[in-house]
Amino acid sequence: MPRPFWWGSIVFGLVNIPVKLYIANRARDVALRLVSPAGVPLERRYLCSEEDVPIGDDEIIRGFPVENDYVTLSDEELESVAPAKSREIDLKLFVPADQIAPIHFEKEYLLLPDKGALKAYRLLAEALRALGRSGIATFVLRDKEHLVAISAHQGLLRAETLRFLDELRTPREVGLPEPAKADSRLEKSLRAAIADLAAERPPKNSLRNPYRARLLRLVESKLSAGEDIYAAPESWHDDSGGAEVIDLMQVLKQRLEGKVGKRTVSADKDVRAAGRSAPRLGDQPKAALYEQAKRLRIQGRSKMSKRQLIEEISKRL
Amino acid sequence: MSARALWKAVLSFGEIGVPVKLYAAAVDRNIHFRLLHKKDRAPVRQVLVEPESGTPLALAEARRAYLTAQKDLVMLTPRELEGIQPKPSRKIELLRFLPPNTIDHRWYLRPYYLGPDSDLAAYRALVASLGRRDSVGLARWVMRNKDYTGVLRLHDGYPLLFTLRYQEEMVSLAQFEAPPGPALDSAELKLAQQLVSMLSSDFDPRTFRDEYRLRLRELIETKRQGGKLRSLRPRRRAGSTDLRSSLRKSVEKIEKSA
Repeated sequence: MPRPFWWGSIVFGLVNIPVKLYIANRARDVALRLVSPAGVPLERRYLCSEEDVPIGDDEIIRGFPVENDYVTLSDEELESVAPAKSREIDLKLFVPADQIAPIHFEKEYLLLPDKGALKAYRLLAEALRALGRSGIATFVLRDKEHLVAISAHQGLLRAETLRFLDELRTPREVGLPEPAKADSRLEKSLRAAIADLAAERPPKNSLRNPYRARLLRLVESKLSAGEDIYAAPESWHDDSGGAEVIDLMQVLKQRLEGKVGKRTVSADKDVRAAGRSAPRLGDQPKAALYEQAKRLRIQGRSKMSKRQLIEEISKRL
Repeated sequence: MSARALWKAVLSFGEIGVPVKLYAAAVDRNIHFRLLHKKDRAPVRQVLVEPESGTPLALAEARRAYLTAQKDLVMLTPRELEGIQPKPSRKIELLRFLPPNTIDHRWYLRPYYLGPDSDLAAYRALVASLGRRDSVGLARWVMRNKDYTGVLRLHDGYPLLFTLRYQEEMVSLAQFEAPPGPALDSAELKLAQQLVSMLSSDFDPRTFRDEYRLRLRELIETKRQGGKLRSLRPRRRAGSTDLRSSLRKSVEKIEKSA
């Protein structure tokens, strides 16, 4: 069950559309786990570099290096510089969608209507589609301000973060040569070579990850030979880790296929119920709960006990 | 001043090769913090431990395992992992040239500028040829022990190579229907379109700045000089209930201020 990555509202004039934001791309599933030679999964722990002793999460602070020292910032201080309206994506500007150069696009998210927002959501999606425009706004997500383009895509609203201009180098900064006339003989032969490669579609399987295919073949041969197989720790069994995409599709279906009005609400309830029965908060280590609390921007989390963290997180799910 | 090249390669179009250098086109401007031990402000360091015993283990001694859907860990030996590494090569092979929207920008991951390497004439021919055709190149290569697929195209007249996300990482939106519901009210739709049109202008990336990053810099500077801070809390408004009147009021508000 994927949790929304962010929740808030799209503000469109005086219309307010509560939405939840989901990541549209899943992480590569080829990441390998680090284990001991005996097959036991290893954990990362923090040690103090002076004392060489393990330290807990609540003994760690964040520092920005200045001269020979650090300026330290608490979570609350960091949150204090996030704008007051950080729960809103305020659409004050619309641009022709095709004017945004591909170099700006960074990451894609899906926006889904929250309770009662379906009608306004559909209306905005249809208006954007009909006019071929994207809404532009900034919002704060995970300790960073993002420039975002909201566009309609098959009746869904997609949010794509855009790189700020100062995050892009110019050809001049890179030192690329100014455009100049090409040797016509060379150009002609290159154009012929390009024409030879012209096609309407990519070759079959060319967009797949070849490393993943090799890795899975290797894993399968080891599984059928029964070699080097170790059971993962019991606590990993409820971890929904790998199945996020399938889950995202379920959420989409539940959120979108419910009829408007009462049925939408009941679909919401199903989603919530599924969320509760999936990974039980109580089974998760405190560090994982802390990370989740951080994502949910729960204030004062660094001083909370595990029980308090669970309580605060479940209020927001 | 020119940037340092990340990698050197040869773009290969069948028989023809164009030597190029890759330069990162996107840079990380985020503010990064060090993690410190609260007590003595000493930087923390990460170690790998066996969770039960707490025994630390050097990274070189750790093994790698693949986690299956059945929650089995399949341990892979260093030699086996070596065996599935891609073969190092300097070649960026152009597989096809496709209509620009065949692979849409949702697939694009990171942009790299291409600059000339040792053969300026071939590079100029590349730029000219790419500019003549409304198509983009689909490429495949191995860089620093990793397989990549990418798209070659011009940006403002300069060649750019985008790395692509793999198909396995993409959520296919094709199978979703638009959220269903009764036909939209045409008066409301007209108002919504009117509102979008009134707020429309050209996209000009120069008008946007990362205000949060600027404020964070200021905060760090204030703290460095021992200053005090004030706190702001986020809030959320309720959804609009009377859609039509909200839309109408929005349009009226803009008309008045215009």
